[in-house]
Amino acid sequence: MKDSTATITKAQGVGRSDWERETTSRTGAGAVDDPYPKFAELRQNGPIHHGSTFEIFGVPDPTRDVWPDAHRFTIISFAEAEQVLRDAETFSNAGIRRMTEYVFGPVSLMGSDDPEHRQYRLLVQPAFARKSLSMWSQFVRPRLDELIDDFIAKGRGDIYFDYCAQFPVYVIGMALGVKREDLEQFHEWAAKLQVAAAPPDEARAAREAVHRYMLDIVNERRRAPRENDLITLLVQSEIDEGEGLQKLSDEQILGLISNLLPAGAGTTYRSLGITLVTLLERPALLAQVREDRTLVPVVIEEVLRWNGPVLVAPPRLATRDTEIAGVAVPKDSIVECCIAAANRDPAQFENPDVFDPFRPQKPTLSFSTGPHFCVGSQVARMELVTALNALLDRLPDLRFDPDQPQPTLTGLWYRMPTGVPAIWTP
Amino acid sequence: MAHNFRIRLDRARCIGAENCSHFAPATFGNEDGQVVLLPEPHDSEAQIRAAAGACPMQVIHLDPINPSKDSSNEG
Ligand code: HEM
Ligand code: SF4
Repeated sequence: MKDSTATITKAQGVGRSDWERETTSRTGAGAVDDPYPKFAELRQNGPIHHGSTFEIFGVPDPTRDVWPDAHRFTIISFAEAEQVLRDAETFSNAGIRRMTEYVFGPVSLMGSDDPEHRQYRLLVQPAFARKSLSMWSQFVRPRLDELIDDFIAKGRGDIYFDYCAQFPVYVIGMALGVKREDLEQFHEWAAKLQVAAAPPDEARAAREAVHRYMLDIVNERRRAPRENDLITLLVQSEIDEGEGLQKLSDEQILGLISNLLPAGAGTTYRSLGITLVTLLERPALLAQVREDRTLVPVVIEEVLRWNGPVLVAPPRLATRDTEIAGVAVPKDSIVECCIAAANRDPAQFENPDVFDPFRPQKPTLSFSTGPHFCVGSQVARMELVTALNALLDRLPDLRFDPDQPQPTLTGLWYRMPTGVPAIWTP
Repeated sequence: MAHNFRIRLDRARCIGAENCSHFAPATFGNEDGQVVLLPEPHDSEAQIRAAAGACPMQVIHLDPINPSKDSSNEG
């Protein structure tokens, strides 16, 4: 892979404007800007809707081929979404395995069910624990400062593409032990490893390339463990749940790695982009946050509720005939829990459509719930807080570029801003 | 802080996701990958209730304390 790094133009990297536009248009970006009024309308008919999210909005479903004949349901209430996501026995992730095998590979966290999933999950969770956060955070602020150094003198730029999108993949890569000179290549693989983004054969090739690259590092760490190092922690992780000591296999470590890129990169930078648009649209709040940094995590949490980056939890497959809120759901139905709709359910949140960081703290479904609850939520929160703080520190008079059109938020499966064109005093 | 409930943890179900510590950092910690109750919890009732509600595995139960029936539960 040595020579190819030189031929990869920056424009192909994940999060570059043209790549972002091309890939996310397949999952509804550009076609659907504001899905929320539709959810409010559907909610009048009850918590469960016949048909998939894509069908609701008349957008071609990129996963349709995997189950052409399945019944599809979308859950739009908080309580029922929670019920489905917690009941992993009735609502299995086996469907996700089939939909994502080309991206994640045959062994995957997101695509597995108990008891395999629980054991796998307990073995990998320590790598994402608060105690291990420095394994990730050591790479975050230095990368952010490096990016800001690159563009600060210009006084203007699109900080969605030049800032937000340029750090999560890098942080994952550095944490995994990818060599600096290979990071551009790693960015390109990551861009293809998104569900329904690249054509399946390209995604599969990217996954295989990542696996080959990472297997060398895994073997190296088995031979020579390192301090404060993610792969070392994973190869040494063990649990005893009463059946003797369990450890992660190479396949499980590689499966986790190819799950991290699609799950942990776009989600994080899109959340940051949405946060920036939300704050730049509210200069008084932005000023308040700049002065009182304890508000940073509060604002981020409210953005994740109000307009998070993941519209639907990965679709579940009904393992038996069942019922949700009195509606019969036959075996082998695909059930999509709409996180975005649940997070705006008036039964859970007062004035749900209002962006209000000062509302009483309540659980949301931003990181899902149940056994598949986002493994990286603490890492994501740390990255988002650090990235917003770095901008407030270094570009204190950040504001929208008056010469550019105001960005909008867009997207169906993945939500994002069209950009964050901004100016500042260099 | 004196609350009128007692925190009970169903640790066997815990997946160590630490969402509880996000909502109530002075109450819930983590040991060997699983939740533990910190020695002197001092989060508000709202924070602890949010943590219990946000736990993806429903590990955290808040049992009401009924002093007339069972005084041994307090503390
Ligand atoms: C704001 C950023 C993020 C959001 C909103 C988010 C959201 C989610 C959601 C909704 C799921 C699906 C859970 C389900 O199937 O019910 C998930 C799973 C997952 N996330 Fe995240 N995520 C974010 C960042 C991250 C980061 C930074 C990482 C890793 C470094 C990560 C790793 C994962 C993994 C591995 C899974 C699969 C877990 C499993 O199936 O057990 N995520 N995330
Ligand atoms: S949120 Fe629940 S599952 Fe996660 S660490 Fe706390 S108690 Fe355990």
